[in-house]
Amino acid sequence: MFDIVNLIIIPLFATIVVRIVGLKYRNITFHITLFSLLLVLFIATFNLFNIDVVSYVMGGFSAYKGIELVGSKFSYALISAITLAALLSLINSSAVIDRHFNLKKVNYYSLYLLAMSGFIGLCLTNDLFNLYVFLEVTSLSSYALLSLGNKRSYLSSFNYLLIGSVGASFYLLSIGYLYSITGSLNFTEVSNIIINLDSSIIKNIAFAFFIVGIFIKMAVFPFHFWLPNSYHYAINPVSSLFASVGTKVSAFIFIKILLGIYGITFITQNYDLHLLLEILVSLAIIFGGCFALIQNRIKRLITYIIVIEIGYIVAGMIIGTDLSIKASMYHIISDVFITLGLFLFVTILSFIVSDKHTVNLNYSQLYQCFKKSKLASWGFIIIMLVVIGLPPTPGFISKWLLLTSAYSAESYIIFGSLIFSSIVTVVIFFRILESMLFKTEFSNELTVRKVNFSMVLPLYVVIFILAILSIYSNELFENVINPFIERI
Amino acid sequence: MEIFLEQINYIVFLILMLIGVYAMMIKNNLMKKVIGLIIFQTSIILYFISLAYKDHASIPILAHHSGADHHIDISHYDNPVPHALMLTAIVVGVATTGLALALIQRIYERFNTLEEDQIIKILKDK
Repeated sequence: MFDIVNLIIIPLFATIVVRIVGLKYRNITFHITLFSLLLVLFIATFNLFNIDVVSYVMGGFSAYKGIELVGSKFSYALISAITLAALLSLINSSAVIDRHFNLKKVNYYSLYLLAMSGFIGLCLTNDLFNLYVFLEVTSLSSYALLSLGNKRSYLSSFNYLLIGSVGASFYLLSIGYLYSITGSLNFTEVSNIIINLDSSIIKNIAFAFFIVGIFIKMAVFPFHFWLPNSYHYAINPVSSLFASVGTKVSAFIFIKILLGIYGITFITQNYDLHLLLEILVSLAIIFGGCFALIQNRIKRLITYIIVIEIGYIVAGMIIGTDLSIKASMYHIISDVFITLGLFLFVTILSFIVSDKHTVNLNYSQLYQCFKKSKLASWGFIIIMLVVIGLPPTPGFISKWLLLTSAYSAESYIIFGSLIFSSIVTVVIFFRILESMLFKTEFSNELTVRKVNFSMVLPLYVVIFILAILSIYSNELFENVINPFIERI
Repeated sequence: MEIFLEQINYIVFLILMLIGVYAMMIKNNLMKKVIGLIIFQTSIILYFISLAYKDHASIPILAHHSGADHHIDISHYDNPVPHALMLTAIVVGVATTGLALALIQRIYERFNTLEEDQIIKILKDK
């Protein structure tokens, strides 16, 4: 009924419509954005429940000549998740945008839609070079959007542009190496050819460039330094979109190429490479935890929590057993909502304590927030419990699967780092709880504003979705994640 | 020497890439960093075009009368795919450069300087 290409075309078309309509009627651009994202969400969820793997060839050229899009259940699930996340942060942020960026509204919404169409394209495409183009579409719009913010945001966005372009160029270079030995750009064909080349040095070089490029995009530890700066200094709505969606879609690309082209045995059977990646990802989790622990500002703390969460996803891939891959794929979907929930709370908090659009939030302001809006504070506590991984939550499911598979695969480094990060998040949680419930000497200097219910509502929608994810986790594993792994 | 000349494209690609990375990492001026980025992206374009090159080959356009019955020897034609890919990559590079220049303009408006250490000093003083 619905071609999957519509999922990309609708936001792309809406980008142009917003720009043209926005010339005259600035106020309805929000409604166009909302409507087109709702349409995408509807099509993606419809596809999720009704159709299975479909292939779409662009312009009618066969898959090996032209560009092929492949939609699987998992990519529909991810598209539904990211579109829902984008919708919630759009609704949550419309008041902020109206007040502070009314003149830039048209640019803001058109870039928002452009980024979304790029993200959806990344989930669907089955062509290596097409993937690069979508990667650059999302990156360019994210550089532009993340430059909205306080004094530092231009500089941090500029640094992100430099490092992000280098990452994308490394990815392009790895395509070049793969193309030089396979002569093809289609995922399926490349993997068919490459499987017969047992020990080609070019294959390894391509993998090295790919790992560096995608780790920069995902913000895995040694390449993570752009993320806290650019997300911290940008305005809240923008950082909540890119934090919840951007890194997770990059993680999906990582899984798609690692499983789809190289095969998981490429890293599990190569002892040195496996050990190197294990150490790298353990360092990512440990350092993310340490940096999160020493932060005094809430938003910066949350950006380091993202670094830890990305570490979990990569750890699942590196361990490389069937169970751990499933766990990391499950964590991609649940982490979209965990991160979104954290950032929605930051939006509410900065609305409560300050009139400006960017503000340094520290622990002492949590006390005021708790006094002013109990509902939002309890929502934040619930989401922090998910981050820790308390038993019935989705955070527990993925973390438990990761721990057991790390233990059975004898990767004790990752096992230790997972335990360490759990302890760190518990410490952070109690620090937050303490500063919420007990007054400190710093906490009576600010004028606080009351928050209305429509800002808190998205936070509870996120909690509701997380609950659904944990209740229906079996169905998700059986019907969505298993077919994806078996097909590849 | 012979090997060196055969590989000259790839050696130049490597040198250009390193120059680009060097400029981005070491240079203090933001404008020079952007120039480094451009050099870096250009080196990758050189790499792709070198992949497509064949000795004594011509442009990949079939003559009008050579239909399906003619045997086509692909070693007589350059590979067109990398050229097509690089056309897109050049467009992406132009967009990146444009955005970087726009950001630089804003940074200059705000700080009145493009030297990174001075900008950081201004930010720390506040």
